[in-house]
Parts: sequence; C-alpha cells; structure tokens
Amino acid sequence: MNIGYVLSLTSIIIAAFSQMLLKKGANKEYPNFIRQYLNVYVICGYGMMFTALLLTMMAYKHLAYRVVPLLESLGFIFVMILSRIFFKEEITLRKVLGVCIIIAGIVIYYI
Amino acid sequence: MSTWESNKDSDKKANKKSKKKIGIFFLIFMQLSVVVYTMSGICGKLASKYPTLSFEFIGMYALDVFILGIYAILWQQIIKRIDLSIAYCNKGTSLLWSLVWSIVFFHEKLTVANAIGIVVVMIGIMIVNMDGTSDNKKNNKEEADA
Repeated sequence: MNIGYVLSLTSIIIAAFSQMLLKKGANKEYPNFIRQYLNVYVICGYGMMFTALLLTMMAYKHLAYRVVPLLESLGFIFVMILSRIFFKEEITLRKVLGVCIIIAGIVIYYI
Repeated sequence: MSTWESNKDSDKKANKKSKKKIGIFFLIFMQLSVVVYTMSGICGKLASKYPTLSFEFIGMYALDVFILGIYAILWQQIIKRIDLSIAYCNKGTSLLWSLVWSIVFFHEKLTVANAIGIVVVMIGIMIVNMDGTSDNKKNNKEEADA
C-alpha cells in the first residue's frame, strides 16, 4: 500500500480530533476574551492541526496532486461521527444527505 | 410526528435539545472565516514563488501565520455558537474561495467541472444548514448551572 494513503488518512483523523478539542474549548465559559484562546484545549487543538498539516504535506509527495483533497473530504464524515460521540450532535438524514452531496461535489470538482 | 409513539419516546423528544435556524448573518460570518482561511493558502503559495528564506518569503509566511491567527479567532466564535458538525460542513466553500483567489492572483482558468462541483457542494451545505443547530449557548449555560 502506498505510504501516501496512510499519511493522508492519519492526517485527516488527527485533524478531525483537533476539531473536537477546539469545540470542547469553545463550550467552556471563560473569565475574559483572551482566555477563550489561551487555554489547553485550543492550544493543543491547533498543535494537532499543525501536525496534521505536516502529514498532509508529506502525503503530497507520494500521491497524485488531486487525490489528497479528495481524501480530505472524508473529514466531513469523521467530524460528523465524532461530533455524535463527543457532543451528542444527532446524525440526521439531512446531514448524511448533505455530506454525501458535498463529497460528490468535491469529486466532480477534481475530475 | 406520529401518534403511535409510546410515552417514553415522547419524553425523550421533549428532553432533546431544541433546534434553531441558522440566521443569514451567521452564515455570512461563517463564509468570512472561510474567506480568511483560504487567503492563508494563497500566502503560502505566493511565498513558494520566492527563494527560501528571502525577505519576501519570510514576509509572506509571517502574513500567512497572521491570517491563520485571525481565522482561529473567528472559528472559535463560530463553534461556540453552533453545532460543530454543521459549522464544519460550511468549510466546504473553501473550494469556491480558493478557486476565486487562484483566478484573481494566479490567472488560473475555471473549468466546467470546477463550476458544477462548486454548485453541487453549495447545495450539500445548504441541506446540512437547513437541519438547524441546537442552541449551544443555552445548552452550555444549563450544563454549567447543573
């Protein structure tokens, strides 16, 4: 198996989890505006996002240029599932349908 | 929705987080964050045109990081207010904005597949947005009070 796929998928999963941390941080109450950003959730979240970015850049070296953004569209599915697990956001028929159409659009774009 | 639901089911319904529509201004605000986000990509691309560690290269990367910082501020404000699964789908328009910037800054051409793809993505995002979000601010308060 091409190492590029492994790098890219790992990057997508890390990026999806980083969104969970950011949301977790956003849900808390803070004494002032700056603390909304300078807290462990947001800082770790962006640290993870940076790691994901590096992995994506490495993945580009092993995969065709248009494959990477196509794989990244899987992020919509991961975020939907993880939001259900961590924040009990319902997975509704509309969301599933919408995400499928978004991914179809991305596939068409990169044809 | 249907009359045959048992009492238990209707109790569950009543306890469910109430959903509210996402306002037009909030949708625009989300698009603003996507615009900012895609502009950082342009800076990265512009930076790569200059020799590594030249004055312009470092300047462009500094601008890139600055723009990402603004995006981070906007994004936290967004996910504080609406469901993450919905907010995240709105990032799908980055396809549109990246294309706009590459046409403006790099004179790249728009293909038919690009245009159709973007329209399809927008339809998908609209469907997700129609779902409505739970009132995150209210829910957070309730959780904090409990």
